[in-house]
Amino acid sequence: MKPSTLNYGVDDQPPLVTLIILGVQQVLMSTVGWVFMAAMLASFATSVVDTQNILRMGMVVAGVGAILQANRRGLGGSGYFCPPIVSPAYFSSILLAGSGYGLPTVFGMTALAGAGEMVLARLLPRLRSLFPPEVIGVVMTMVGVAVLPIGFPRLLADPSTLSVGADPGSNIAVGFIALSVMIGCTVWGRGAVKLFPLLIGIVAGLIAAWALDSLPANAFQAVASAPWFDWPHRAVAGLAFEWPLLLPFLIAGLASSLKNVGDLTICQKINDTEWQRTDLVSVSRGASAMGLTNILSGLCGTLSQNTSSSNVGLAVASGATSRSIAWSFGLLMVLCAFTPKIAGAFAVLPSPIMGASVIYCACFMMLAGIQILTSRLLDTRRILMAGCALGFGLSAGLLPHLYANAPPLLLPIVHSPVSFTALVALVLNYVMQLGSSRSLRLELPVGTDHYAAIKAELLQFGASVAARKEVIQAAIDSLHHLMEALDTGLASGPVTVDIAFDEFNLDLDVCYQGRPIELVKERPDRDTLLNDPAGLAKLSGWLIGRRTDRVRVKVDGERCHLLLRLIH
Amino acid sequence: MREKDAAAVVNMDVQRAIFPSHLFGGTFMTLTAYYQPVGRFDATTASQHEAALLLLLTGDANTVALDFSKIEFLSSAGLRVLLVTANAAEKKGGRLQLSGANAVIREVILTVGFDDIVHLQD
Repeated sequence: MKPSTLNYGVDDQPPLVTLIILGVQQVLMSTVGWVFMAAMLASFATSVVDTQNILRMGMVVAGVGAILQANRRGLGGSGYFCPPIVSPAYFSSILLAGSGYGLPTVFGMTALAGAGEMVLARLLPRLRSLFPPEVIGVVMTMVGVAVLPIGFPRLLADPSTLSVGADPGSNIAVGFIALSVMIGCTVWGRGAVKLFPLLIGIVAGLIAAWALDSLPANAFQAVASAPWFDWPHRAVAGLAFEWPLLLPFLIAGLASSLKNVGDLTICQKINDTEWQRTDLVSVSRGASAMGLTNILSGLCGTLSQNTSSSNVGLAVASGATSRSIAWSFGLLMVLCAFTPKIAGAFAVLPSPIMGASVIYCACFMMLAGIQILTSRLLDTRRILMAGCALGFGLSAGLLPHLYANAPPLLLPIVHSPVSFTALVALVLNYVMQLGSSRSLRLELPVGTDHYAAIKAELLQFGASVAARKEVIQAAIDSLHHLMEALDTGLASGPVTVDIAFDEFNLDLDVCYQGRPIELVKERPDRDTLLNDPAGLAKLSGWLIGRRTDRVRVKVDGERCHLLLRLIH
Repeated sequence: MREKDAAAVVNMDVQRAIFPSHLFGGTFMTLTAYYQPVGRFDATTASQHEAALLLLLTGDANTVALDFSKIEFLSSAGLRVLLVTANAAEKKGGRLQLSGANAVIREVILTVGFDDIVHLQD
């Protein structure tokens, strides 16, 4: 069901003008990624012309990739608006290929890694047990946290993000004005103001930058001198493959895919109020579309991409997640690639405004992950899994020098906090499952007060399997209603409760000697409740039926079984 | 099911305070008794609660204001106590008011259709 907080859900069709403005807003958000791509290319001394061509080809591929991702038929996609952006997970592999072998190898290996991502995507639905919601929750939290090191240096005018001679004070003011306007529009805005908080914040930031004289000196000159139309070219011809680079690129593909899982899960969650777990079939199609996008990246001569967390965050913040936005975003990206003047206008966004945009979107992404984590009961094993995964991921983001001497094969993982978090979470989740049971047996004598025991045992069991709190509470209530009914004389001996959990269902098999409980379809009337000795047991049976998703009674001689199912 | 012992009943934090509720209906005045049980409202505590609530209605009070903010579970036995109390209050021209119930308990009261005899507040 579509949440009421969304202005446009995934299936909604915004009016054309709104669609175009939403696309512009999303393109502005993705400019941060293009800055990162330029920095990545500069690290292995690519020429300015090659860099421009790689960037413009990247824009074309990002546009096509966004449309592929939003498509649900044929070769696409998850069906969600989840556009691609240059992937930090590939940074070390690209650096290795670019500095050691040249651009044709970078492109060739990028295409190969894309094919690897497609194969992995096909396997995802079969790896369901590796991706329980608490693992996804950890990864989603880190998706938001990981963009903070990009946002905060820009917002707080770190010298490395400013042009020479720029005044840090006025830049900080510009950043905070932009962030305040974005937050204000989201919290107190109505209609269009609530729909375009980022765009309005950026405009407010630009006005502030103009007023405080902190716009980059050559910004307008660069836009004015850029041509209106120019074909994007492939930077260099040909593709080359170097087998020693295969493993680093495949590992980068794995890391990139893990991030895709996190982003696509956010897309699913924000579009469904009743979301309970990741739909891995849809994620698999989405990850496959990203693999195809990366094959295109290699063929067109640009760098690897993966899903853009910032853009997903913006979709959440503005309440506009319609898959139609992929079309306006995609076409605008292609337009930018063919129109250097427009691309130049997007690129002059002052750094503090970029920082404000990133931090604004990160808020929504972090909280989406934390919400999933806190919706589950977590025992010590899972707390340790989540804590260690977040801890290692943060260490990779905040203290990257600690991993400077990591084995080359691991560099794609440790260079990406999200991928590192995902890998640690996956491994620890698997290891921690060893020795843990997904079933429980309770022996309850009749005639005693069982509530405390039932509650303690079920809460502990729920935490050990990371079950949803409300499902465990429903099981506690149902069992207590039942025990109260059995204590009216239905059971003549101890009651055995076998509980089994498999992520989709919580099943309780209650076995006792005596008479079966009457599961009435109609609620007992007040007269029955006051005057019939069996009235209370009947009402208990009726309440159990209301609190659970399926109830069955089975009588085997003198043994009675009550089978309760709660859908998880 | 064995009932809780006397010490546990004392822990229910029964508060009795009778006061006029400013409801003057022309020819009669409503007196409301405030009652706040603690813990569970189920078979283990039902008879004590029923006795306490009916005792409140033996005096001048004809309406009971039941504060469920400290109740974590309501069973069929507890629901029967509500029914008995509501009937007794109605016979005296008053009613049973209930406030502070958590979402699950509120849902139970609504699904069993007791919202017409128990006046839910909050």
